[in-house]
Amino acid sequence: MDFMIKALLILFWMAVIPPLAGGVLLHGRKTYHPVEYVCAGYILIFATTEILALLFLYLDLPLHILSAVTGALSVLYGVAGIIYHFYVKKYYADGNRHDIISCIKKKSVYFWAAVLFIILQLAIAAVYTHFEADDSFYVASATTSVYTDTIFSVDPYTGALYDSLPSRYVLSPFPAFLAILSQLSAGLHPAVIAHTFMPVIFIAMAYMVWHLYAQMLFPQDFQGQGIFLLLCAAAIWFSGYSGYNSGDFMMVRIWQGKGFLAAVMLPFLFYVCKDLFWEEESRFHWIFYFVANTGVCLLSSMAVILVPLLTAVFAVLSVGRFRNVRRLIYGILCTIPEIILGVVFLMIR
Amino acid sequence: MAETFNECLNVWKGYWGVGYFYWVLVAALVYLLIWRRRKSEARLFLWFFAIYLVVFFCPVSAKLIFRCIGQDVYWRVMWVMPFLPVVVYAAVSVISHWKKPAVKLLLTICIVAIFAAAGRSIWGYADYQRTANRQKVPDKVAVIANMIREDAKEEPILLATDDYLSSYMRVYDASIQMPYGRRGAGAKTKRAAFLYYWITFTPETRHEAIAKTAISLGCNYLAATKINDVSLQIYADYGYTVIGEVEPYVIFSSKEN
Repeated sequence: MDFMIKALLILFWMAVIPPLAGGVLLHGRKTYHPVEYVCAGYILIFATTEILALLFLYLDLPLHILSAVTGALSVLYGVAGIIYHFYVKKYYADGNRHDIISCIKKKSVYFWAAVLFIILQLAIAAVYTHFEADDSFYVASATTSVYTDTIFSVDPYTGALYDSLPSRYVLSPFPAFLAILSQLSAGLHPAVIAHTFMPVIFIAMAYMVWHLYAQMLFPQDFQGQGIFLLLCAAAIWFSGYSGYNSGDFMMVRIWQGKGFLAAVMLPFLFYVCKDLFWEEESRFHWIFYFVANTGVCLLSSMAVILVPLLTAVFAVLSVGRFRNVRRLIYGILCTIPEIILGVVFLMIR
Repeated sequence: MAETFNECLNVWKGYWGVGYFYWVLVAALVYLLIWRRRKSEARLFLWFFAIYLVVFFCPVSAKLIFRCIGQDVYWRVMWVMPFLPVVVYAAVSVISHWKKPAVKLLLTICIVAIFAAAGRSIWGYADYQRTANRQKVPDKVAVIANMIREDAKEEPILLATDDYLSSYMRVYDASIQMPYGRRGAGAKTKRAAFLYYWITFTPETRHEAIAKTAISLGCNYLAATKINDVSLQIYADYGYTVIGEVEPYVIFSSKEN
């Protein structure tokens, strides 16, 4: 019973709040897609956690205060998102009003085959595990933070106090996010969240992002969308050819910040960049992308380099396509969070 | 310059591992270039690849990125490249060209078969396992941790063990402290570093050194392998008594520390 209550709480924080919170960032758009809301909600929560975690780490405040503030803000975002939903006119990307039943009816048999295949992968993620020795830092940081009620003060390898902060990891405190989830779900063990709930929810999110691609690339071809999703699931299933590719990270270590970055966030940001830099009229706005650049810094120090790289390439493409530098300038401005963190890293290294 | 380029090439090759997915990607790019380049999305993918590959292989940009993230993880730069959507977009474009449902189904199956042949199943590669514990650490770790916690009651625990257990112990129970973690990380003294080395790599020949060093570091618990009657006596001489066994480990406790 105790476990069931904790499980419901973690589902509340990971599966209910983020889609609602997404409305805060996507407010004012004429069209929306539910998947964009889920990703936007996580981006907002990640950005909030990143700023608060670094601030509270600097102020040497305990973890439970960080958890309380992050939790309160997340609920606030969710409430704001609900209010937004009652006032927005809901249209899907083709401009017509749809209801859920007609959307489901339009899905092809390939789509449902893909869903079955994805459910199989989620079941494997929920029931089985791949022993990942890197957890000795990433997940152990979270269990250590929960046990000591501190933020990056104790070495997860030994349990002794840090002599100096681990400069590479402290600016991307994704383990702090895991520790916060543990405290917000009445003490559900961080390893249980990391090894059971995160894989299921995050792998599902990854496929939702690929479904966005399917709809973007084949907007009126419902059968093509289904085949796209099915082939994505197949390609990811057969991505065990090396331990470096994003498909492998998605299936065996998505609970680590860098795994989520590779499997979910980078593909989603590519999708957003296409809209911002490649399209005449954008559905996303630059403030959203700025917040996204802040949020990804929580996941991994890799994001500090990879996302600006992504932005830079798209900025160059946009200059070539539109023959003006407006998007280039906005793109550079959006990478300010990474620039700041990069400078801080060089100072504390 | 040439050396840096070769490093980038090695990273590129290493990323593709044992499969032939690289050739599937090349085929997809060629298809998009020849038959789909009028489509806006295809042009985006092609131009993105062109620019990003220049950035990836250019020695100047590569060296800059090496300095930022480290040369040993340069392969992560490839995560930005949209390999999966390019391959699948090309595949679906081919399939959608045909109108007959049977042909579409056949082509879909063929492409899945190509993925299977070019790649490797995650199921076989990842060595998925079921565990009895909810934390999904190796069951040995959970059993040993519980055994130690039951023996220690409320007393603090400082456990010395090998690389395998030390990699997962604090994932399961953060109240168990250790003089070092995975690969000896966090070891603050040379003694701790030596203890890690002996207990992980030479357990059968260094029992006395292990026992002596563990006691001097204040380790009140020890989980060691390759234990026989002679080594049991050695540990007993240093105050370690056996509290349990979990194959291949013998778990010792010392009430003196």
